[in-house]
Amino acid sequence: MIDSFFQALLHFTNPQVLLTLFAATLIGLILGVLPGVTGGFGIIVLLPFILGLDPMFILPIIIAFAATAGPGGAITSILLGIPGEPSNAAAILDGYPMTKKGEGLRAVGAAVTTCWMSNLASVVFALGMVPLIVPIIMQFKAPETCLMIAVAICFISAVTRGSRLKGLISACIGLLLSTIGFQAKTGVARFTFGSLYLYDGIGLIMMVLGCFALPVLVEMIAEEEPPVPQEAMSPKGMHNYRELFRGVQDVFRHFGMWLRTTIMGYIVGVIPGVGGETSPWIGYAHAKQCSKNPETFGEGNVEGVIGAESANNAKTGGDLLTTLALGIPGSGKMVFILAALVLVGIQPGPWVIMRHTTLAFTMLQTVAVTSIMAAIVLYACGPYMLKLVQAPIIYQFAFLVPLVYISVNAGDGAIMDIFILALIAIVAHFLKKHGYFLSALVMGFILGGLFEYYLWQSLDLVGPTFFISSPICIALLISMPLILYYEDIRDWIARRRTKNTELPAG
Amino acid sequence: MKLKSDTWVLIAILAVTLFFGLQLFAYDSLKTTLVPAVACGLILVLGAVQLRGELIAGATAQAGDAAAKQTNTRYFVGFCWLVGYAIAVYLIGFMGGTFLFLLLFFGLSGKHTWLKSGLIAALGTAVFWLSFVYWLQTDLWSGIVVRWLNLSFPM
Repeated sequence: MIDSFFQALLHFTNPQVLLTLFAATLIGLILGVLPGVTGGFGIIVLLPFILGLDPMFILPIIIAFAATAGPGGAITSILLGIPGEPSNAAAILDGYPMTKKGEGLRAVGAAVTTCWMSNLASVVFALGMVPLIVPIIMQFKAPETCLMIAVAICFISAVTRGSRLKGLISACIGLLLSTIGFQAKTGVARFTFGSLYLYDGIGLIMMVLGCFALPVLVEMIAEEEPPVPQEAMSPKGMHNYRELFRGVQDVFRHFGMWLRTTIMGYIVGVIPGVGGETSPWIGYAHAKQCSKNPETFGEGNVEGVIGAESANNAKTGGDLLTTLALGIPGSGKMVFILAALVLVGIQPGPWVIMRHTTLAFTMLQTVAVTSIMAAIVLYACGPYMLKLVQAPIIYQFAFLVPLVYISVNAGDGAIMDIFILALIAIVAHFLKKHGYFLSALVMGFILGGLFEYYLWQSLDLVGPTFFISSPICIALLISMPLILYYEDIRDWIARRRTKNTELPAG
Repeated sequence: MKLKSDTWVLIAILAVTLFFGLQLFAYDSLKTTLVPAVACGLILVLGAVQLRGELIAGATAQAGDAAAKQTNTRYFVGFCWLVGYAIAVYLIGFMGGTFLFLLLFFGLSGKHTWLKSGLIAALGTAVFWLSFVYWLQTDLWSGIVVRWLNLSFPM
């Protein structure tokens, strides 16, 4: 394992690798700065081109997109009050009022410093956790893997905003769609309705682009925000770089709070399905709780920016570790990483970290390397990147739509793909609009084939009682209803507590 | 009772799932049908529970406000652009389709004159051609019309 760690580290001594990662970092930052498109969008558009590429080359590039969009989004949030990425929304609360007071660069300095420090810390925590996780993963055989996949689907369904039932239905729709085409075990074609096109099933690339790329683009022009006023593009004190260093100093002045919110963000990231947009709010709330001036929160307190952004960035390492070690994505972006793993020929699931240890370490270290690169770029020219926000939405739509279609056609070249893609986009839009969870659907689709494979392997090897064949299996089986009904159980306990405390008083 | 659009979508999901489920009777091997049957069964059971909840709650359709209708129209137009582009690509290939899409999109948006829209469209198409055909050597669809006419372009 130590060998793999250093082997992964050596990967970054290659100048070509560093140059490629720097380019990916720049693109990630630009995607982060632009409201509407996100780092996840960059990953999705890249997916069709990664088929057959060396995972050691392409996966770090994808990680760079995922890791640097957050810091890029912080700039737009602080200076314009528009979240570049949804997870940057918490930074607006105090970052934007600071900009109005002429302390925008101070907030940027604090956010950028927090971003790279928290990313770095989360990678250190994640690397430290690998030796603890490996012995558990070693126990995983077909039955455990099969149940782990089911647990992953439960997790992503359970965290659905709104109806949990709709989350589960979404995952099951994904599972059902994954069964279209030839079945590996029997060679029988299912649900093809006589069409040769469907013999290979629905392509993963089309599914991801159809569910996440095209609906986002249509949403951009349908829900067009009013253009940013010209005066907002050059906030007060924008070129006072002394303010930037004041922000850097602020982070070290509140080092204890930074560390605590970083640890919180990391833990939230490790918990599958919770990460995403939850962690910055937890960090913000903690910063407010432990501040000496909580009354100034919301009026431009730098602690609010540090708390929100440290938790937001610290989740990346934990999120990635869970995705690689257990095959459970912690957030939407990690669903795309799972898709990327499949496309480069790596089976997602508990075995990734065991079978591809060097690659896993490289991916984790990439988070640290690219966040430092992102910090250098943002310290130097972060505020100037605001000019990108002026790019009208119609340009983004007009040039990204052909890019997405060409991406699909470049994948396997069938022209039918573009019609299926448009159809998936329309259906996905309706499902999303009516409360269905597209991440759960795509998760069900990605993991469906693996689930079927391991299910039959478990049935063949152990028999119908495979789900109680080991303590891990039993634990996983018990965890499923607990995951699904966690909120109900928590509410029930809370109700009982309230009842018990009210009774003596009454 | 006029049902909400949420309920209609759920009913459509249940109908499609039922259709998929009925197809399973055509296969005789359990190895072929187990996972799809489980997926169909779960969707039907969970969907039925959800539907029951929605019907008991008595959720009925409310008349949408003007702003929501306007947004829906914009979504409809957005998806029309997607489908229109797909049809254009199918007929005249990626390069021709992209040029036409960019020209019409910018021209009809009213932000630029038709001449300027044409120039942007030509420039955009050239960038796509250089990136994908020339540089990445991608074999893009040349269009059914081009194939019928047996023309050859460097696509």
